[in-house]
Amino acid sequence: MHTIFLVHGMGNFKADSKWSEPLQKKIRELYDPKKYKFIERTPFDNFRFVEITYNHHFEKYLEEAQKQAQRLDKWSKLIPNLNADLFRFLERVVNGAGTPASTKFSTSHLADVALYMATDVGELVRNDIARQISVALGDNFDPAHDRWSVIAHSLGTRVITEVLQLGFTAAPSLRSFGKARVVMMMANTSRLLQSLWPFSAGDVYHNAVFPSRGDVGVCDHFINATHRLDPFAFVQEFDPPADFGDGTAMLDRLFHPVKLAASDLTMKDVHAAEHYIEHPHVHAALFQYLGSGRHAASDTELSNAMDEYRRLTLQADITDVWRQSLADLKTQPFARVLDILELWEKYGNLLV
Amino acid sequence: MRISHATIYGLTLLAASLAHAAEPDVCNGGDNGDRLESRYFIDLCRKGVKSLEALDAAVREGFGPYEGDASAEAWPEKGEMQLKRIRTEVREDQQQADASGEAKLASRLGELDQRLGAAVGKLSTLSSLGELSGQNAPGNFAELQPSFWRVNTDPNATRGELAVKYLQDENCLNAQRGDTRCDAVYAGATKIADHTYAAAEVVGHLHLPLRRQFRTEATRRTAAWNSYLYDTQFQYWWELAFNRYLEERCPKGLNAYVAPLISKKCQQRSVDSLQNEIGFREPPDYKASLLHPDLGVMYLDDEPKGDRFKPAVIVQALGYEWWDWKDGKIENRRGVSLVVSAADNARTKELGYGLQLRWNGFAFAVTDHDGKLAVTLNLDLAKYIGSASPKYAEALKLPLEFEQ
Repeated sequence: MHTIFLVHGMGNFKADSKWSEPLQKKIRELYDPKKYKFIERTPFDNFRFVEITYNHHFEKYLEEAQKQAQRLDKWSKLIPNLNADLFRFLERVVNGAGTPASTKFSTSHLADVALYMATDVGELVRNDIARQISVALGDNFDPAHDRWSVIAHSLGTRVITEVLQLGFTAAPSLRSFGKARVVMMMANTSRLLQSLWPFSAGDVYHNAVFPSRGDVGVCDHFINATHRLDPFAFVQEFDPPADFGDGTAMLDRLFHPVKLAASDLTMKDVHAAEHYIEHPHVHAALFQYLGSGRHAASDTELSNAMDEYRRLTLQADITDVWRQSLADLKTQPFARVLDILELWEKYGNLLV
Repeated sequence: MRISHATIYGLTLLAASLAHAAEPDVCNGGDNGDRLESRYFIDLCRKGVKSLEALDAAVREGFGPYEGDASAEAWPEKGEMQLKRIRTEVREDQQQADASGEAKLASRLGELDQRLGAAVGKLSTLSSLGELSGQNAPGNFAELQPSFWRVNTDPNATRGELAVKYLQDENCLNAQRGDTRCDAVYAGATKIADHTYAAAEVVGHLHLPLRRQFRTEATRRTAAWNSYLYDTQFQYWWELAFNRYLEERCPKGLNAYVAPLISKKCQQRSVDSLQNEIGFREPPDYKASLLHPDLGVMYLDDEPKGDRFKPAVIVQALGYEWWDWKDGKIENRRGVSLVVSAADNARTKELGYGLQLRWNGFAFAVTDHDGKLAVTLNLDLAKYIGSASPKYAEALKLPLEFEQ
């Protein structure tokens, strides 16, 4: 059995919501041996999907913070005659407690990022994901014939990068399950978040998370999909140097970058995981390396798939004006953190 | 024109046979590389190979049932015995290949024998299974890692690749079933691959206690981090960030000064030269409080009778809370903070400065309001006193109203 872990990005992903079902459905639809002959000998039922959910940890914290803030809010009614300066100071402290639960796009999404990167809620998330992976693989997992892979999206790419880094260097370690077959990152934010974090957040190009034919690394193949217009991906693209990992990943062609063009738009949410996986170059690479990797989609098959994909781009409910607005985001400055937040806020407004 | 029943039956059979032929043969279709891939990694195919099932069963039997620590201690020796058994079989096959003039097969089996020898050698130096994990394990015990032995059908691979390399040596990797010479080569390749698979089974089984331990540890740490966040005094987001910052500063920073005073440690995170973290962190046993607002009940003797107990706001300007971990649970929470307290006082200054002491959920502060001392209890302590003492219950009734 080949277990594929699906790791979500930023947003409202509830543990019991089966959030990954649309993505699973999309992959199942695309896994069509009539379109790609090379997959005909790997039946789809040899794969099983396991969704990894961590958003509930952020939700729980924010709910608790709100509860505390509401409780504190009562103070002003109890102590009405305090002097004005003191009143303002305490009011500011109380309001601060409730801030993370804001509904503003950048704040609500970035509260997750901030909680993950800057606080120990991240430690809870990382340990819980390690737990979820090991529980899902279970006692019957046999590394001689069972495989596992990871498909991560957006914030999930940073999260899973850290889980793999910690998990493969820990004792006991994830290495006891064997290396992952494929690690696939869509809209990889791991490099961006490393540089946004003001303190040391390691080096994602030179940690344990890289593909290798040898004994090091965490996977056999690493696929990285980026869209030119995805504002979460283009700000600081995951674009490893020649010496990525132990220096052999590039030479051995185990790192597979897939860069999607500005014209490749089938839906407004260019950042969505389904939008990435729908692209033939993305899912064809995934299907190739989930298997032996020896066979790939033929030029004709890929060309046919791209023709069909282009038809979808033409049918997409996207006006030229909207398309231009999205493209214009790339011309905005995004050198400072505040610029990046503004960029994401504008992107959020485009989706409304 | 009349069509006989026999013709219809014949046509039906033909149609069924054509339909069957159009379906890919998952287990034996494709080239020899594909067949090898299916044999081990497609459940449907692997389960159909009786010799592989028998091999799995032999390895399981060789190790016996897993019974906790005692099994884990016996595991390396049992693994060694089984790898030696596989090595003997490999040598027999190698001799047979030599005898029948299959030099390339013999050579690949010879390589496999060397790898098995290295694995046996490493196993004999292993003092505990724990050595198979950690940052340096891939370098120190490469031959005892599951990925080392997993059959690999990528001819460019460097681990588990000897069978596919042999197919390539004989120019049979891309040959289809039905090619007589290559079918014989494929049979030789499956010998190499089956031995490799057997070694993968042994090494994979060797890691079973570590996989279980990984899960147990991850579950324990998840519960402990959860406890750190929600069973201690709640941390507002700025406190979470402040504490994370202080933890990262260790062995320097504020925590380095405070930790020895409360018999705790301020240890540096385990990182490599590029600051990549190594292994999972354990949750801390102390943390700071910063600008932490709370509600309480203040008692001021100087206030008019009947108005001496009143609701108050208390802000921990800076403080520390520390505790003990016992069986994954937090115990004996203690704390001390510099505090600012404020209440709607009639005769005394509203604002006071002082010290708060905490024990588990209870907190007690003494603050100076322009020379007058006030005592402020947090809500849990006030409620406890109110419920324990009828004398104070009436006095605390009004201030505690806001909790209704």
